[in-house]
Amino acid sequence: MTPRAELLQGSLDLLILKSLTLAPLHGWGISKRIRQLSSEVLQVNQGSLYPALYRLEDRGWISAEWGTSPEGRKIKLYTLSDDGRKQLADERTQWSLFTNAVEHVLAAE
Amino acid sequence: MNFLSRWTRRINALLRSDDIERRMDDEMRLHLEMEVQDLQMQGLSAEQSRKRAAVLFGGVERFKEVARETRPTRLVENFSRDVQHAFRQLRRSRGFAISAAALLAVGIGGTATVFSVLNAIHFRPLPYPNADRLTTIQVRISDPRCGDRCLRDPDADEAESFRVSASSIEKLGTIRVTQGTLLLPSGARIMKGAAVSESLTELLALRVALGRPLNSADFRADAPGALLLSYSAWLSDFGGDSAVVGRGVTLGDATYVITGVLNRAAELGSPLYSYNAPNNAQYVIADRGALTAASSTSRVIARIRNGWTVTQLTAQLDAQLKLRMVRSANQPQTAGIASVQSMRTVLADGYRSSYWTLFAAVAIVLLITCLNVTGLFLARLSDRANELATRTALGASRSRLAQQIGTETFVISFAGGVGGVLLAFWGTLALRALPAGQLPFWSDVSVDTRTMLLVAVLTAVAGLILSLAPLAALSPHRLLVSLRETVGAGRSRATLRSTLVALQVALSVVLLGFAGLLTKVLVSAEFRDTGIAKHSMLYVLLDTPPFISDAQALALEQRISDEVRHIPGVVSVSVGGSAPRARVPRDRNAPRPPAMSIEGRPDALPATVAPTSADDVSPAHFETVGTRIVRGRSFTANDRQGNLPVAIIDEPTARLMFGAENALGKRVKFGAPSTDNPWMTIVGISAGLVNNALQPNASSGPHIYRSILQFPAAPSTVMIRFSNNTYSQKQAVRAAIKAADPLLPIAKMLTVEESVGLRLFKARFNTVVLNAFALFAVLLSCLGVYAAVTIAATSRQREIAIRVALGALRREIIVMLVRSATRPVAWGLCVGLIAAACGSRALTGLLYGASPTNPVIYSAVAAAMLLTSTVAALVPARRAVNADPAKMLRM
Repeated sequence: MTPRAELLQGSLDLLILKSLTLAPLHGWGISKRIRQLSSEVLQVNQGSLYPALYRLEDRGWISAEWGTSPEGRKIKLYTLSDDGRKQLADERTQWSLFTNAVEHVLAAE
Repeated sequence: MNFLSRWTRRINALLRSDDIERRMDDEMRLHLEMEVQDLQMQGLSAEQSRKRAAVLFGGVERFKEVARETRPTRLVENFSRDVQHAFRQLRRSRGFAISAAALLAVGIGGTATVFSVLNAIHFRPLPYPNADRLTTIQVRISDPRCGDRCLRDPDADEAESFRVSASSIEKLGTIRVTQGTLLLPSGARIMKGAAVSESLTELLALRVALGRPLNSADFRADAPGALLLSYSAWLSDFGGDSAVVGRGVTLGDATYVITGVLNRAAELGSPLYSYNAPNNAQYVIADRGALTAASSTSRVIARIRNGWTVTQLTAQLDAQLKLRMVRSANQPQTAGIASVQSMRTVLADGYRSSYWTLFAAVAIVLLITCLNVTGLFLARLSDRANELATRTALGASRSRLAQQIGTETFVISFAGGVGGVLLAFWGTLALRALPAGQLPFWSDVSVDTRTMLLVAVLTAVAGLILSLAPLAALSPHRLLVSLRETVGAGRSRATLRSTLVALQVALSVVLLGFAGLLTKVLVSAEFRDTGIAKHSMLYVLLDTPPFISDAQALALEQRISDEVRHIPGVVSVSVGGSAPRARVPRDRNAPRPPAMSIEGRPDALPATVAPTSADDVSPAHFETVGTRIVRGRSFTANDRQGNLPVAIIDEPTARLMFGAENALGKRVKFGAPSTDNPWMTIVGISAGLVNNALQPNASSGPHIYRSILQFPAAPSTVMIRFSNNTYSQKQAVRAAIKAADPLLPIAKMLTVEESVGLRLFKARFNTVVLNAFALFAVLLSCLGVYAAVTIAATSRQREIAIRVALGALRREIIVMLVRSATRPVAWGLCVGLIAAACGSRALTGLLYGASPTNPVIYSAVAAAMLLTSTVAALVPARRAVNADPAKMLRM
């Protein structure tokens, strides 16, 4: 069994934004992509994805559109907006700042 | 732009919230299906993958709830959903909803009604331009007999000097109270009126409903007299006939032209009416020499210049008075000090404090109501504990539940507020119908925007108080344990309930204590021997010209007595008059003449000790008014002209004039010993009169009575005693007096009950209102105790049933249940009694000198409270114990 990590508070937004940089995705696709990209280490609690999606949508960082899947089902596709891209860059800087700091603390003897 | 689009999206979402809900559902279902597919592809069975997908997702309903919470429009959405939910909940327990709303309605309605009185006299702006700068100016005279309270109106000279010299006065107007007999088609009628200066018409903005207002031409010395009728006089004496404008009327010995009718607003709480001559100035005339008629005093009303203060004006007037004193120089010691009061104070003084007290009392009632309804909510919440716990488990956040319960309480308090407004409308209507007589602003009591605003605030506050306890009971810990049905939650909720009961009892004790004090004062006033009969008597006041010959006076007395005596039911009649009093000389600074002399004593008695004039009465006087003759005899028909002059004095006067000596047989005369007034022998001593039953120790002044047959005087009063069960027949009396003299005007006709009623109105009103509040409060507290015991008994139903089944004495269980209620009651009693003792000082204004800490009243209150709450606890306790244990256990 692969080791799993709990998501850090606030990192879910970052992950969602990142997962949308390549192409629009629907909810399940996002959760799947996060799992794939993290080699199954990061387990998004799938249900909690949706409140986060609605929140990001309301902030205008992602936009949603109803479309049709290749199998002909109605699906809701989320796209990263320009604001979202900017936000992603910001959060990324924040994140590396944070992890670097934590690394430093841990590396200290 | 971004902002705008975001809000369009939000509003869109709000409008299509059902749609969004469905799509959220679709989206999550799709997610699960895809996950299931994915898992199946990884090799799990259909059944297994469905289970696994559900676990991975973690509860659709829970995340829907969380997602709803994150939606920005959730507040509005939730609110409308909550209101619907609240209505559903409340419809399910209609009895609870109706009683809670009704209790609140009574609380809010009562508060709003009392506020409307306070509002009328205290808050509502007076109907004059710049009314906040209007003042009245009087002069305080230093007279040892009345301390600081002797005020007189300035005379014309002084008023003119104030106007000219006080730079802080913007405008100054004068009112002289006048009185005259108006000849009307319906007969002669005495009317009270006001002669006003020209500037006053502007100060008080005397507007007319009909005709024209007074203008400057009316105030010229050579102008024909101009008269404005008051609205009510126009209605009652002229039948509301608009043709009166332009008609001439005779007032006293002058003729006037009616130029108009004052509008109704000029009658409400106006200083023309409310100050000294309350509500009954029936006309206003242009004073054509207001400031020149020296030596006549008038009420002075001044508007202070903007930016100046009452203190500055007072200082300027004082300086002016001192200057005048130095100039006149003859009697420098009685110069006086200016007394300036704001118009509001003059009009409402003496009423404000008592209404504030009532308002505080009704606010306490409202607080008790809120606590009570909170208790009801708590009880209901314990019924719904399972529902709430289940919803928490399903993902509803605590704040969400709080919002929902909050909405229920707000729906209830809103209904209470609406009911309260209706009650307040009805209450003010009922108040205006009371015989408040001369209370200022009474007819102004109504529900206005300010009252409505207060109701809105009260409703919101009530809603907040109501939500507090349910919210406290909603802590996550409590919700959890309530699912497990443990004792812990029950106990903490019980503590909350006990606190509520204790608070209600404490507040009720305060109210009951205050009501008790007021009742004691009023009851002792109602039963006080005032020296005069308290029923079956009618006073008539006549306006007889004072200077008629002795023979005419005697004949008139005879005719009135004869006519009135023939009315069926009349037991006895007494006609009284008083000889014109020795005129106090115009010069106020001259020493007062002596009042009476006693034979054999060189020094005359001053007016503080002896009467300056006599009441001349029919021989039947004492019998008619019900005054006892303590010693000696009453007057007889033989006490007439030509026989030995006799007099009767009352007990307090006898004490004042003769001290410990026996007054009977002594001879007295008016004035100094050297005057040629006749000596009168004192043949009787009557019981003293109490003018105001509320203040028995306030002196009504020295009294001496003479027989009207011996000292003829123009009849000014008729007192008629009816047999016990005869209704006092005012119409018949009016007719009899008209028969005796068709031109004799009747100034006033009052039954003794009406006269007492006017005097006691305020005390009666306060007492009845406070008692009603206190009773309501006690009733609510009992309801609280009742509810608490009912809940305790219900939650321990099984325990009680087991105990009874195992053979416990029912009495013991009853005692156990009642004791659980009496503990908070006892706490409430202690706290309430201490609070009442501390707060009772606020009542001093209503107690007429009685002590605010009366141990008897307070112990009675404590006993009553304990008794009623024990009964309230006993009823549900007995019911719980008498239920069939087998049936209880099977439930």
